[in-house]
Amino acid sequence: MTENFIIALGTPGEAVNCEQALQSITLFIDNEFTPEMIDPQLEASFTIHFQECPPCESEKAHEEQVVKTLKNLLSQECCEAAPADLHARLLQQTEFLAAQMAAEAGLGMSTQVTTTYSRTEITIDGETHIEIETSHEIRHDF
Amino acid sequence: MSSDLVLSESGASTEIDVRRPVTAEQIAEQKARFERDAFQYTSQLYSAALRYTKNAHDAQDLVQDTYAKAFTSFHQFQEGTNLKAWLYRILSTTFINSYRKAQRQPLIGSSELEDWQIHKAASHTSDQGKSAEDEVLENLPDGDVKRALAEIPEEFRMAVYFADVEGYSYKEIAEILNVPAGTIMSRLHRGRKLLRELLADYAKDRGFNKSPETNVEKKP
Repeated sequence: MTENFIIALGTPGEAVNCEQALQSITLFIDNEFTPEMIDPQLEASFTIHFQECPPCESEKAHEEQVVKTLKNLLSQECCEAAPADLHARLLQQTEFLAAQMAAEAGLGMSTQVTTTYSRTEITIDGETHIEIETSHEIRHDF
Repeated sequence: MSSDLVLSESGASTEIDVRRPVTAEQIAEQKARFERDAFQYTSQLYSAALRYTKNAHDAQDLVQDTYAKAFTSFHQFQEGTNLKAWLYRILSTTFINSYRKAQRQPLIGSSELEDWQIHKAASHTSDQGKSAEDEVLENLPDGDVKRALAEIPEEFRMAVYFADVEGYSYKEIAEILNVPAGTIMSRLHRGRKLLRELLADYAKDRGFNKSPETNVEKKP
């Protein structure tokens, strides 16, 4: 039997106090009151405390509602679509990497990769801007 | 730690490396499988990258670097395990190793971070406090939550993002961020608290909810 639970909160067989109950709210909200996280024997003690302590029960209900609202708002606002040219860059990059992989595996005779690399340094009013451009030309000969 | 998020920066173990594609067919197969399975998550990775970098240019570069690393180590990915979480782990590792230093983002001290027992929610919130917060949340203008999330320290921000937007469990987030699951609980608890405090501050700045007395009349 292992007693190594990730969350050490409360003692089996002992009553739970308000402080412990308040700390456990995050676990309940996130559905993490699991045997992997915390001793399952404790669940009953926590449930009893919330049933018998209206301030803790009210705190739990409020926390649940607030986190639910936050989740909805975050999901609505943090879902930016990737720009179209990023998709194009990813396809090109994968093409290049696959060709490089083939070259490294000794299949080089069928694939030729030419890499052009340019570095431009522009200094205006003491500020230096460095632009690096890399382009790959891939040729497959089958 | 489970093996479904195997990722090694310094090269794979020999056992795994046996699966590295060597023939033209194997490489073509890996490429086709990668394009079919991994490309569907581009927008989600981009969104997570934006949380990390806070600007579109770096976020695109971060996603591109992530896909480059993912493709070259795709033979290490175990079919049937969570590909999106595997990609998120590469994204997080890449950000921490390559971007964080360049961005000079302030980090919080580890002692402040790890021990969730320090941040005890020691007392009950008053009814007035609860209704004030409800009112703030009901009247939030668009963009406030996104702005608040960007303002909280990275460790808290990403725990909140992966839990509250992506819906991952503590264990899954622990694997993505490579920290213990107990730490994730602490970061989430603290992160949400910071987020809520910021949202209340924004509302106060707007002149909303200035004095709690004005709320008293609303009670039934």
